[in-house]
Amino acid sequence: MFYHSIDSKELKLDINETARRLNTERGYTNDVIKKCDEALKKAIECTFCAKETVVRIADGKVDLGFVKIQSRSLSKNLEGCKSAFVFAITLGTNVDRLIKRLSVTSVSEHFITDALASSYAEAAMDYAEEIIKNGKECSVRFSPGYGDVPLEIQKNVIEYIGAEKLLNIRLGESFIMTPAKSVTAIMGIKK
Amino acid sequence: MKDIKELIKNQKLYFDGGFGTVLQGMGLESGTPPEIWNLTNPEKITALHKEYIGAGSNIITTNTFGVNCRKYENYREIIKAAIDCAKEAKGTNEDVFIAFDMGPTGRMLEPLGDLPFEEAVEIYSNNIRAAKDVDLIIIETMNDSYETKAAVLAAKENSGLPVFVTNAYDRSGKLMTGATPEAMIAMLEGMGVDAIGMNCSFGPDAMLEIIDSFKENSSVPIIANPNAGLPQIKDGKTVFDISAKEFSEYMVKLCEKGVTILGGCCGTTPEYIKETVNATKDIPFAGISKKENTVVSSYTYAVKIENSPILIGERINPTGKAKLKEALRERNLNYILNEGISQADLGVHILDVNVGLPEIDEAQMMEEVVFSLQSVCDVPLQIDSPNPCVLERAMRIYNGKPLINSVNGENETMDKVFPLVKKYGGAIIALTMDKSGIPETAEGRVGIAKRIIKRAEEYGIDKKEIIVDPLCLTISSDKNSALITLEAVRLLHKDGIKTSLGVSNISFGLPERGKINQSFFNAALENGLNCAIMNPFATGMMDVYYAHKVLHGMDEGCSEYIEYAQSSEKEAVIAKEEITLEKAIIKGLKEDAERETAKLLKTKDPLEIIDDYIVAALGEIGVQFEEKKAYLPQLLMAAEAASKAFDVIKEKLPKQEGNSEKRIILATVKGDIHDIGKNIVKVLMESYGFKVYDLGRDTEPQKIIDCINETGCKLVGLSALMTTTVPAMEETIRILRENYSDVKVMVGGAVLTEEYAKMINADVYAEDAMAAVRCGNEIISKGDF
Repeated sequence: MFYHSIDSKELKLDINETARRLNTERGYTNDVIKKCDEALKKAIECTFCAKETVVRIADGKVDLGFVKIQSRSLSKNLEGCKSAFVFAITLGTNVDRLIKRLSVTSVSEHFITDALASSYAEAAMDYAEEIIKNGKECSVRFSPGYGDVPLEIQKNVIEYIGAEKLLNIRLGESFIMTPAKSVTAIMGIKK
Repeated sequence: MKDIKELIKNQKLYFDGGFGTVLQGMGLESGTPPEIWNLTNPEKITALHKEYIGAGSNIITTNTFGVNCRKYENYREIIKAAIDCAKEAKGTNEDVFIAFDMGPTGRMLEPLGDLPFEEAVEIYSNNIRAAKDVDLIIIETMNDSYETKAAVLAAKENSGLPVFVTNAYDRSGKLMTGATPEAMIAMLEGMGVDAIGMNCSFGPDAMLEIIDSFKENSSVPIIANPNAGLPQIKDGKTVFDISAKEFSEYMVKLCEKGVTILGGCCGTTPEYIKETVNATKDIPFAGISKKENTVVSSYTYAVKIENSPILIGERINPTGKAKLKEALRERNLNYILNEGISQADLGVHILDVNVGLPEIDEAQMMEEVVFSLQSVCDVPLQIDSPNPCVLERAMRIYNGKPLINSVNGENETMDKVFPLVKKYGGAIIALTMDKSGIPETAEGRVGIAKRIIKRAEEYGIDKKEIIVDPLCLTISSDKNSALITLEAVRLLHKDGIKTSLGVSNISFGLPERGKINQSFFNAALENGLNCAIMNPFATGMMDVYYAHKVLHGMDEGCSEYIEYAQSSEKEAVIAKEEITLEKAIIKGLKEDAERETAKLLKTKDPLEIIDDYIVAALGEIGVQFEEKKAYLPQLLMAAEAASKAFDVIKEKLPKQEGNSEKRIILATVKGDIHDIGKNIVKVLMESYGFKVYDLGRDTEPQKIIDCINETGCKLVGLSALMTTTVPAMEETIRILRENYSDVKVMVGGAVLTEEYAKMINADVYAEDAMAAVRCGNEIISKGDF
């Protein structure tokens, strides 16, 4: 079981991903984007937690011990894995507050900050993934809602890894997570 | 039966320890909620209660932490079974109290999450109505101040039982949603909670780091129920890293620091409680000391009204403000919220909120503005209305302890407002006037102040909660009015009574009012004024404030003053580089765009500026965007700058009436909380001269119909980002068409396509924000509706 916080300075944005989210070319920036980035970094309180689980696959059905999922895409993804890491990251409540406030004061800063925050959430997943793997060979991480994996299993994932208590993640009625910039994933352990 | 409310004032008491974690050791499978055992294994629950009583617990908590009506249809049955177990364990023992336990709902409240405040109150109310034969209510492990308030309100409205509250603070010493212990103490004491503290989270060592702030601020007994450290997995089992012995050593320290109600949470067992009782039983009772601070709070922090002057921003008040009046009539919340945020950015400590206009529903608007302001700005609010019903609506949903403006010396007013303050908590501004008007002498005004304080005390409201406003009347009608007010401030200050003034009233009817205001403000501060309701954009007033602090030893190292002085200097020296309005818009420089527009207006016709400069600049950035030479962030920045330029021009343009204007209603449909796309369309349409009625996100169809009825605008733009909310869009369009045959609906959003738009019966599909502007212009130029 892992529980860690990550300093926002450690989070490295993926240049392609960020450009895609901002609707710009690779590496483009300007004063407003820089200003948004600085304010965002101050607001980020990034934490992650993870837990291992057993994996059993039969007839397109994946049994993760805490939940059984009918999913071809996940079956394929976890092929040959006997166990998997289940993990979550969040950028914290302050990021939600910052974005909400910008939605009132400036549409450009709102758009930019929201896009950057999504990129930071991905960066946090990359960072957490490396720590969790600790040199092990793993499958590509897979999140509830990808492919044919139902979003509804978000509830089981959050419960299993204790993300409600450790990361303060809450699920809304339509399975949207609060804080909004939170991500969960399953990653098969190959060796 | 002994009275626990009295007992806690005179001796230490002991809670029990962990429940779920102990039951797991007794065979409860992980994944099975502990409360299920109330029904299936009641004898084990009773046995555990008995063990805790044996270990020395005086307060046993019912096994109901995770129970509520949203999780269990049979919640009443589970609660009754839990209480029966506790009753059986207690037997006839008069020294044992049964605490009915309530934990978080598991959902996040609005605005951060999707659970409405009143629904949370209802969930907790259902629990309390089901809980019979208990001695007190313990609300625990709460990590959001708003949810805590919902639970306390439910307890107060559905029982007369004592209420204890413990919150789960994280490593930074704050709740998950940001509240400090000071903020929680202010709110909870205001609501009449009997004992306050902390539980769960990171273990007793972390609690030692924040115990001092409880001791300094709490006037009620302090509770500490920590975990046995942090959970770890050993051989597939959850274990905690602090032993019973170590735990008790920490508890000794907490006890010595002033905690008088001790117990445990996750990972602790009867052994932990036994060790703790043995180790602390001989430590003398620390006593409860009443604090004299006047405090208000928001959902994150508390503001103490002490020696350093408090600035209360006055800008959210329609009196004499045409733009704010218009914003209120049009329900333009964005304008109002920006007024709040910009004052907060200038450093005011509290924001006054007054939305009284005869033609609007003040209570509804007040509730909406207070809730929305608290979604975007964490400065405490002063709720300002002469109408007690308006005050109550806002006080109920306010997240924290508000300042209330106001009561006066009339019994009628006091008898309506004081019960609200008693129930919801708050500090109150008291105006020194009554049925016979405002006394002409300082002593007369002090007399009314004392009468108000006495009356408040009869309602159980402490003197410290009353901040007296001895009123200032304009010197243009009475040459002595300033002197009388200043004398009243001095006398009140001498008697230890806090004061507040609406400072700028002094100059009413005179030219160059700022000059008088700042001089009067300075004199009032010299006489001990605590709070000033003022305009933070008036630099003269801010000068006085910072200078006063530095001259009265309230500004260590003059650091606040230096920072203030340097920021005003900077504004003055910024070089006015060569810039045109077109350049300012293309580069997205808002302030420059405003300034250049104002300059141009001196020599050019407003319409000429729009066509030759603004539209031209937007045209250029639009072309750059479509040719992929400029990107979306730049397009948005340009649109914002153009909107600012428009705002400046609008003031010069004759007011256009009704349908001659280009207008559109924009909304994100019911169930969809994403509003970035809609906001982008909004700012672009505004920059192209559209009047936009923005209904926000998660919009009920009825709200759109109301807006059409009110404004006559029949062009509606709907946005949906999630596939799951497209049906809501279809339904909205159906309802709109049912009500109006001539409404035009434009739709957009990430999941929509041209075909989809046709399928759900929209008139136009706009693939992006530029397309929305183009389509909007086309529909309006056809003018067929």
